[in-house]
Amino acid sequence: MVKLDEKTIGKVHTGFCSFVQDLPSQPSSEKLKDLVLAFNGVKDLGFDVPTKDYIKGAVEYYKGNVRKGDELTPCDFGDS
Amino acid sequence: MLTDGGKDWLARNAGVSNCFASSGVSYKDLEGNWHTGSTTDVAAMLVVAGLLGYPYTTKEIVNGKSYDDFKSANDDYDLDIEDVATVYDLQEATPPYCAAGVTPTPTVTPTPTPTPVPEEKCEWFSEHWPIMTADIMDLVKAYLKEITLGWKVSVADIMGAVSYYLKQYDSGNSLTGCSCSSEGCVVE
Repeated sequence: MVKLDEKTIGKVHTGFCSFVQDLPSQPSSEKLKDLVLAFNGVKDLGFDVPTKDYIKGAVEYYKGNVRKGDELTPCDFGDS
Repeated sequence: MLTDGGKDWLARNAGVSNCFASSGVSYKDLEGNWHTGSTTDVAAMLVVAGLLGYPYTTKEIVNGKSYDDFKSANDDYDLDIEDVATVYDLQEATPPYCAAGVTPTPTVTPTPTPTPVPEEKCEWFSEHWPIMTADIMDLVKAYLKEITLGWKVSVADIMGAVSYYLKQYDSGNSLTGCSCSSEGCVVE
């Protein structure tokens, strides 16, 4: 799957991907909780969580499944 | 899906006084760290546990209970991501959602109005201090309306007099309403 570059994805990439990039190495369920709150409009993280796949992808990062997380999100941590 | 059973579970385990609350709820994240937040925070953490699956569903999140405990109360339905918005709406409603049988509005406990102590009574105790058995007999006679002391004698007054006789002044004072000690009674 070809990932769009940071400029193309803009806010989502810089915000969401920065937010979740540490999850594989430093699992934080608080971060996942905040993504759930942001998706429901309860909390403002400064970026959008437009679909549930973003949360499900973050859950995969939490479990260490980077490639599966990349499939569900616009992030591309697998090749880094 | 969030059922009534699930809502009640949240109110009882992730609320304050059995009602959804916007703050003051202690919960654990899945790494075992404590946080304080709202009922919605707990609901979101439960969703995360559900998404992660076993063994996270067995970890304590709130009030010693886990996602599996919640799911049992929620008629065995999973808590969906979108249900968190429902929890938030119920939490922010006026009044917030409360478990079945719980009244959300705070109950006002009426302040009991103290019964005024007849001045004549404490004067009588003062004049007869220290209380002797004859005084107690007089109180009994007044209670039986055989004599008049100038004030209405109650059973509590007689019991108070007995306490004074036994030098149990605090007990006597609580029964008579007077302020007496080994020195005598204070009369205003």
